Amino acid sequence: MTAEIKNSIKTIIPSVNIVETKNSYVVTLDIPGAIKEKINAKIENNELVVTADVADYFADDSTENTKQYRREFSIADNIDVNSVNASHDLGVLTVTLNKKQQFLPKEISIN
Amino acid sequence: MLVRYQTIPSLFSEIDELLYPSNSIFHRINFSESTRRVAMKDAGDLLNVVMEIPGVRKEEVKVTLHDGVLTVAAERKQPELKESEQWLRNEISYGKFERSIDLPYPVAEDKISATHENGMLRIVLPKAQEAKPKEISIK
Repeated sequence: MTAEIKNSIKTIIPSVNIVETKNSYVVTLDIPGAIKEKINAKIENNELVVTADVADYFADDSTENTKQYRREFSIADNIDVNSVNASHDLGVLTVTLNKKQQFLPKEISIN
Repeated sequence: MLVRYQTIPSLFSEIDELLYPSNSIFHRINFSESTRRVAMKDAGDLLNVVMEIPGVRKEEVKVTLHDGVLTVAAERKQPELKESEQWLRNEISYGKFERSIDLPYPVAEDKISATHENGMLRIVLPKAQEAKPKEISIK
């Protein structure tokens, strides 16, 4: 039992910011220590799931535990799941989810 | 609305959501633990210090050593929103912060090095000669 606990991966819930812009939602997650290759973002069953594996720098020397950042978001109907971009810089992951065309504000010209 | 807020444990977040429908201090307390943590490791001749500083540019970090106290001062700039933009969730704290650590040993001040990668600041402090481990020969 003790051994199992020792080897389990610690899940960390990253802090998140979300900003709504005219055309999109911009989700920012703090995932310090994660390298690009270990970051995974996917949309499945109407959920955006972000995970990133990192070595636990704060574990004591005798353990080889890793920790995992993980956060899930439900996706609203107005998001175009085919138009999602992600970038990674300074330990911060930014995911931009664009809104579907029909939900964008339209200017109506007056004749 | 983009998200139905989900965390682990989910029960907690559901209650959280009911009690605090908008961004609240409650969230911040809940999540502050995951940022700016510091670890220090004694590696024989070296002291290794690691600090989480996501979102902080290299130019915005200052590391100083004074009287055996290592201080990291940094600033994370708050993104400016345009008029058409709005916050839906704001758990990340911005602004200036400072963290000081008492070093347990004297260090060779001129040999300290620091690197900054993927939101992690790593400082390597070689111990001063008198603080290095010494092997004692047995006669």
